[in-house]
Amino acid sequence: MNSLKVLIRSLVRTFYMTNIGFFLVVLYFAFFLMRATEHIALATAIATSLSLTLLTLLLWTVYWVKAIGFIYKTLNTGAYLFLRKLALYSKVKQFLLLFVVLYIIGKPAWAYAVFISFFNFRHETYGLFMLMMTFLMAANTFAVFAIMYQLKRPIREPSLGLWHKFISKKFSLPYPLWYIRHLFIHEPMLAFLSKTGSLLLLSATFYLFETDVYDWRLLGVGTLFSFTINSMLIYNYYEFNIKNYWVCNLPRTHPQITFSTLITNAVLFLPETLFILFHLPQSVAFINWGGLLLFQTILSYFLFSSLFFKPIAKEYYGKRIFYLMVLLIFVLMYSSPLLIVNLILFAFGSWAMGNYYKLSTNNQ
Amino acid sequence: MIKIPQLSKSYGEFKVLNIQNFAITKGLYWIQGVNGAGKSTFLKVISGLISFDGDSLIDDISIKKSPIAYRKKITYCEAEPEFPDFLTQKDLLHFVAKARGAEQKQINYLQTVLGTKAYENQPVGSYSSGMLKKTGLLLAFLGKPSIILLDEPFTAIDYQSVDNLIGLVKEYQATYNSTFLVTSHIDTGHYHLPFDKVYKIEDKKILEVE
Repeated sequence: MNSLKVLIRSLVRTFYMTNIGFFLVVLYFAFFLMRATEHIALATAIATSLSLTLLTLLLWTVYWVKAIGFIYKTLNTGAYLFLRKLALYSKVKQFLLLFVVLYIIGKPAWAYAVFISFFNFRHETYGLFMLMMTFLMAANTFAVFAIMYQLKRPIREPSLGLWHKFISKKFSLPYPLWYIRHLFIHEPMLAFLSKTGSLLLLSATFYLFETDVYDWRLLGVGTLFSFTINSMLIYNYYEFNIKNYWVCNLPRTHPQITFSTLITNAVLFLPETLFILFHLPQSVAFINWGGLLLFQTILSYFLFSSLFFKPIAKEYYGKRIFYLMVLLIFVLMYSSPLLIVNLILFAFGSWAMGNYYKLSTNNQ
Repeated sequence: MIKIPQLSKSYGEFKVLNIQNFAITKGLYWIQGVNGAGKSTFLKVISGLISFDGDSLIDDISIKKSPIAYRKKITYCEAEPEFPDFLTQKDLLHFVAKARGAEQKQINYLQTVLGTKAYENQPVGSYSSGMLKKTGLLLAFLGKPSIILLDEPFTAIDYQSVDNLIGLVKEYQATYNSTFLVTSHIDTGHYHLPFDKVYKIEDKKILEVE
């Protein structure tokens, strides 16, 4: 196996696996929410308007920033520290290897650019086509240099910023809110992007619901995909517990753990819950209405507990999300009442957490 | 060989190391210290892995001015090496050997000495802590490093491997004139390593033990 394959398996594969929730949502937009005619209309609009092209480039910039951030983080993670030896390769080799790696990571953007370019040629907007391609080449190249620079430098531990000090000093919070505080201090970007993406998806789903004769299952699937955008938050919450306040070391009973975890998850999904509460159509039956409100909180509890019951490395987490999504879409499509689904998820979650807690305390 | 005019390292507001005018020539050195004294941090800092204030020089090459040239001269094996579960020892060896300019002959030799050849195609996720440690050591010995930093090298590996490792240390000293900095918080006297000097990290400083 050559160095490129090691890099692809360590960085590219891990990137796609870790962000599988995001890509599932993109697929949901592309194949569930949007029709073929809407795709063509959108691509034509982008291909013929400078402002829409610039907006697309802005979205791709966010994607590249996310990709660079992911690689930075990976290179500073224990198991991937050996990749820092890439800095000892010749500069040309480093550049070529990283260029290919980032090209594969950027492939979704390249693929969409190719789709839009078809309409660029149809409408003879060659300038916009050139702008788009130049941007993608420049973004790819810039990302390579950013990572080469990072490889050259030693790892910097995040220092306590003013924001961190302010929050830590001002707010002494009850245990269920510790993670929320941690999220705001250490992962504000993750929180912001997850919540923005999730709320955008919910609004698109609820908007679509009004436009035709859909039933509550569309809202259920939309809520599920909106949850997927937040799936990294759940993993982050799990890591927070493992690294900082290992659940088992706290002298708490199983009901106490369940309660505090549910509170944390409820606060984590408060924006989505409030959105659903204020936008739910009255035509939806109570059993599903209540089910939709609790769905994300209970689902996150289930997922969180499953991580304790059967721990999984971040790079394989996406697989678990994928299978869970497939299973739940199947369940929703069969019109299973959501409140009952929630009850089953909660029961399994509680069992998994209780089982883990029992095993760990027995081992001590 | 290694010259540290000034070096300080803090984690947040907690200062771990504050070293002034430390210098060593070629040789074999043992760095002692209690848990949390800063032994591993010291090795990570001088290997160029983590940031610090001050400077460290190997043969007058500054880590701040020429980080790549500096890092080419030094290798480091962590106390508890970690690698991605899905890669094999062969993948890791290939990647690091290219960076270090090591040839296949050397890889084969090191694999034989450390006894890692048998599981070179197994994914790292299936390794025991001893197998992981040996893989980490193997990577640290690749190429012709001037300085090899070994953090708790004798933990997790079996007696036979300890003997082989000691032989390898002596061989590298004789063949490549390599310098070794070995940390351990336990007495390494029974390993029969001819240490030139023993240092101790205490109260953020590095002191010579008489």
